Amino acid sequence: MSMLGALRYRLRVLFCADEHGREMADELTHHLELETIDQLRMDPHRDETAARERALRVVGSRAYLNEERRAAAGARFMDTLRRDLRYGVDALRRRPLFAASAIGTIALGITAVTTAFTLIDSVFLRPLPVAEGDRLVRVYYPRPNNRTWSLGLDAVRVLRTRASAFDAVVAHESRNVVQVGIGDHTVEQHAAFVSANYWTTLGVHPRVGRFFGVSEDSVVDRDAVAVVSSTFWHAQLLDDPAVLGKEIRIGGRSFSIVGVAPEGFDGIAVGEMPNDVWMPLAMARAGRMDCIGQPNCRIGDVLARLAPGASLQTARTQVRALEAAISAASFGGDSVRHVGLEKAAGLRMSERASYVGLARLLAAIAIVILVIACANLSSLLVARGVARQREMAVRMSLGAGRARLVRQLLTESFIIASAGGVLGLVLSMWTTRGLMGFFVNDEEGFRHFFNLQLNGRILALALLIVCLATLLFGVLPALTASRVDPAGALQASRSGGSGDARTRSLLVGAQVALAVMLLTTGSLLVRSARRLMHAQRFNADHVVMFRWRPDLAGHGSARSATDMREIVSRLQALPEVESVGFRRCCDLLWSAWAQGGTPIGLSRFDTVALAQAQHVSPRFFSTLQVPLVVGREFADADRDGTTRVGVVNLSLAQRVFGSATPPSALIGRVIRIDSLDVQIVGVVPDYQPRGVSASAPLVVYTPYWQSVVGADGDTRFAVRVQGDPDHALSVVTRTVSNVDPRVLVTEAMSMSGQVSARYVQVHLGEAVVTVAAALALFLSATGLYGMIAFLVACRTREIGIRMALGATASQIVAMFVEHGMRSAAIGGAAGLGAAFMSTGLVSEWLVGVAPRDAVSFSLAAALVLGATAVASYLPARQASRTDPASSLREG
Amino acid sequence: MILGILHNSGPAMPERQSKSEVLKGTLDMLVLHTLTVQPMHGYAIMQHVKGLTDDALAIEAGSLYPALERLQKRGWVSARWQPSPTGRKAKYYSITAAGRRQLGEERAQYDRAVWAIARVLGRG
Repeated sequence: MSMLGALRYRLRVLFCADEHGREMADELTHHLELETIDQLRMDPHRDETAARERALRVVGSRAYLNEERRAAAGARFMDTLRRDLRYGVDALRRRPLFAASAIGTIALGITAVTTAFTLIDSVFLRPLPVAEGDRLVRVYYPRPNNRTWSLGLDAVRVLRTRASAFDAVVAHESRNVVQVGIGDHTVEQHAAFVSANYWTTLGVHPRVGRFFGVSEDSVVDRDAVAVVSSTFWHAQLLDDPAVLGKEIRIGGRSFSIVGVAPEGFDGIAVGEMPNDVWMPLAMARAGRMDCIGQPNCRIGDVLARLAPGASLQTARTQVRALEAAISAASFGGDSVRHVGLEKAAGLRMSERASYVGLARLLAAIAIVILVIACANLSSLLVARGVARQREMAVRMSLGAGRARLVRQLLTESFIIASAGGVLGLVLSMWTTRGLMGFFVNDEEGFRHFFNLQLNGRILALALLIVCLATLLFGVLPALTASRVDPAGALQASRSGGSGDARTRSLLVGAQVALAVMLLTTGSLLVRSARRLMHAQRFNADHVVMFRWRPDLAGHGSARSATDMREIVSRLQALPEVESVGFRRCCDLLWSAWAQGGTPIGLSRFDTVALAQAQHVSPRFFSTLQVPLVVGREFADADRDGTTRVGVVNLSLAQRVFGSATPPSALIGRVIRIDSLDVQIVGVVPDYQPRGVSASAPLVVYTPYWQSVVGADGDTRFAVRVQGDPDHALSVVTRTVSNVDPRVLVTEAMSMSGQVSARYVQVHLGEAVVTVAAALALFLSATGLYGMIAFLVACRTREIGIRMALGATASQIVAMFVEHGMRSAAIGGAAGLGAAFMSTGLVSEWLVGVAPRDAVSFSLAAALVLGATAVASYLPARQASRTDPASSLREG
Repeated sequence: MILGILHNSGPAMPERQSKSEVLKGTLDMLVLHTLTVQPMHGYAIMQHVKGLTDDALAIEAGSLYPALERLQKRGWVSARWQPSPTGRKAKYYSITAAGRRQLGEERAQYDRAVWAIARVLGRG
C-alpha cells in the first residue's frame, strides 16, 4: 500500500506539478496564519500586521522554502526538463533550414527501421485482427519444412469435449478457390467453409442479415446458405438492396445468401486469400472436399480460443495428453502423432518462410540506414556546436556546469529525434504498404491481404529508436560542444577546433563505410537479377494471358475442343491480336520444372532422360517470340492421325544425342516419349528464366491437337497483342467469355506482370537494396560536402593568407579535396572489408553471382569514390574563389 | 547547540547533500514519531515537538516541509486535505505501515548510537 502511495506521490510530482505547487502554497499560507495567531497570543499588544511580519521572519523566505521543498520532492528534474525543451524548440525554430534537414535525416532512418519492423510484426507477431485475437491459438500436425496437416472435424470434436483449456474450437477451410455463378455469369472467388461458431468466436457481427447457426452446420449437404463479404456485395452484386435470399451457384449447388459480413472483414487467412464467401463446413462438398461426413476426413484447420485464465502452457499440456485420442480421430488406427499448438499470431507457418529472407535483409538494411543517418546528423551537430561556441561560453560563464550544457544539448537532440520519429512513423505507413504491394497479387492473379495497421508494439519500437538515436547521434556533439573554454571562446572568432575536425572525419568515414557495404550488396543483387532474367529467351512485352476452365462448367472434351478452336479463330480476327498460342494446364504457360517427368529414350527399352512433356498449340513459340534453333514449330496440320511429331529443347537434345551432335542433325530423328515414338521437327532454346546455378529443365513439346485427346480442356492461353496490353486484355477476355459465358476465364493478366510476380523476391530484394544504397550514398556524400564546406568556412582567413602568398586556385582545391578523399578512402576500405564479411547474408538470393563477386565490389568502390570526389570538389572550388583581400579584412 | 544542528541551514549553504545523513535521519525520526500520536498538519508537528521539549528543540519550517516531501516520496508518510479546527482545510500527514517499520529501525539505530557515544564519553 505504501509502495503504491509513494508511486502515486512521485507521479503527481512529475505530472501534476502545478497542482502540487499550488498545494504547497496553500499549506504555507495556512502555516503562516497559525504562526501569526501564535505570535498574537504570545504578545497580545502587538497589532496584527506586526505579528504577521514576525511570523514571516520566523518561517523564512517563502521562495526559498518552496524551492527546498520542490528539490526534496524531486520536482526540479521536471522544471529543468521543461525549460530545456522550451529552449531547444526555440533554438530549432531560429534555424528552420538546419531543423528541417536534421529532422529529415533522422526520419529516414526511423522510417527504414519502422518499415522493417512492421513487416516482421505482421508476419510473425501480430494477433488476428478480431476481438480477443491474442487468446486464439492454432492447433495442427506439424510436418517437415514448416508444413502442416489439418486436424479434421473428428479431432475438433475431441478438443471441444475434452480440452477444458479452450472455450471455443473453430474448424475452418479458409483457402478455397471456387467458381461462383451469379445470374448468367461466373466469377472466381475465395471461399471459406467454417463451423458455425466461427462468427461468435471471432466476435464478428453481420452488416446485413444474419450468420449461419449450429443447426445449419450439422447435416452434410443440407443447408445451402452463404454469407458474402461487403466487397462481394459491392463488386459482384452492385450493392443490391435485395441481397438477402439471393441465390448464387457454387460447385453445382445453389446457395441462398443469408447475410453480409462487416466492411473490412476479410476472414482469417492473413497473408493469404481474403474471403468473399463463407459457407457452413457441412457444405464442404461444394468446394470439392468430398470426404466431409466420412470418418478420418482431415478437413478443417483448427483455431481455438483459450478459456479465461487458461495459459498457453495449460493448453499445450492438455493437448499433449489428448494426442492419442486426437490422432485416432484424425487418422484411425493407433499411431500417435505429435500435435502442435501456437498462438495465432502473424501468418501461418508455411507462409512465413517466404518472408524470412526479406525480413532479415530489411532489418539489416534498416539498421545500416539508421546508423548512417545518425552519423550524418552527428557530424551536422558537431559543426553546429562549433558555430555555437559563443553561446555555450556565455552560458558557462553565467554559471552553467558542463553537465548542464550536455543535458541541454541532449534535450535538443531528443526534440530532433522525436520530430523525426513522428515523421518516420507517418512515412513508414506508406513505405510498408508499398513494400507489401509487391505481394498483393501472386503469379496466378490471386489476391493476398495483410494486416499492416499501426499498433502499440510499433509505437513502442519507434519510441525506443528515438531514444537510442538521440544517444547515438547526440552524445558525441554534446560532449564536443560543451568542451569550451569560456574566456578563449568569447575572445576568439569562430574556428573549427582540430578535435572537432577529427571527429567529423571519423563520422564521414563511418558513413562512407556503410554506404560501400550497401552499394556492394545492391550491385550484387542487381547483377544477380540480370543473370536470372538473362536466361529468359521469350519476349513478355505485349503478351496477355488467361486460363480457360471448361472442366469446371462440366463440358466434355469434344465440346471443349470445339470451343477452343472457336476462341482461337475469334481472337485472331480481332484487330488488336497478332497471334494466339496455348498450352495445356497446369503449370504456368512459360515455365518448366527442373526435374522429373516422362521417360525419354531412343528405343523401346532404354530411358536416357526424364523430361517434362508439354502440349502446346500451333504458333505457340512464335507467339512468345521464342527463336527456334532449327526446324519448325507445330502447324495446324499436326493433328490426330498424322505422323507424331515433337520439338525438344536444347538441353534435352544434348542429353539424348550428346553435345557433339549439331542440332540440325536431329531433325527427322525419332525419340520415344513414354511409349510413343515421335519424330523431331524442331529444336528450341531453353527459354525459361532460371538461376544460373539451377540446372536447365529438360522439355519435350508435342502438338496439342495430336497428343491431347479426351482431356478436360483446362488451358492457359498467351495472346500477342498490339497497343496497350491492359486495353487488349479486356477485349480478349470479353471475346473469350462470349464464346460461352458459363466457362470461367481466370488468371487474366499481362505476361510481364506474371513473370515479375513469379520472381517477386528477386525484384523486391533488388529494388529495396538499390534504393537503400542510393540513399546511403546520398547521405554520405552530403555528410562529406557539409564537412568540407564547413572546413572552408572556418579557414577563410588561412585560405586568404595562402592565396596572398601565391598559392594557386588548383592548389587550394587540391588541399580540400585531398582532405575529403582521405576520410572517404579510409571509410571505403573499411566498408569493403565489412562487405566482404557480410554479403553471405544475401547469398540465398544470388543466382550466378558469387557473394564475393569482384565486379560488384569494384563497382561499389568506384561509385563511392566518384560521389565523394564530387562532394569534396564542389565546396573546395568555392574556397579557391576566395578573394584574399576581403577575407583578410573580414577575418 | 542542538537547535542549530537540527535546522537545515539557510540559503548561504547551497550544498545540502553534504549534511550528515544521521542528522537528517534524526529529524525524520522525530517527525515519524510525532505522527504516531495522531495525523497532524505541519504547524502542529512543529508545535508538538516544541511543546514536548519545552522549546528546547525547535524544527524550522525550512527543514520540516522538505522532510515531509522526502518522507512522502519514500512512502513512509501519506497526506490528505481535511478540515482543521480553525475551519479551513489543512494538509494532514499520517504515518504509514512502512513508516512505522522505518521508525522502529531508526530508533534502534539511534539507541545504539547514543549508547556507543555514551561509552566513548565514559558515561556508560
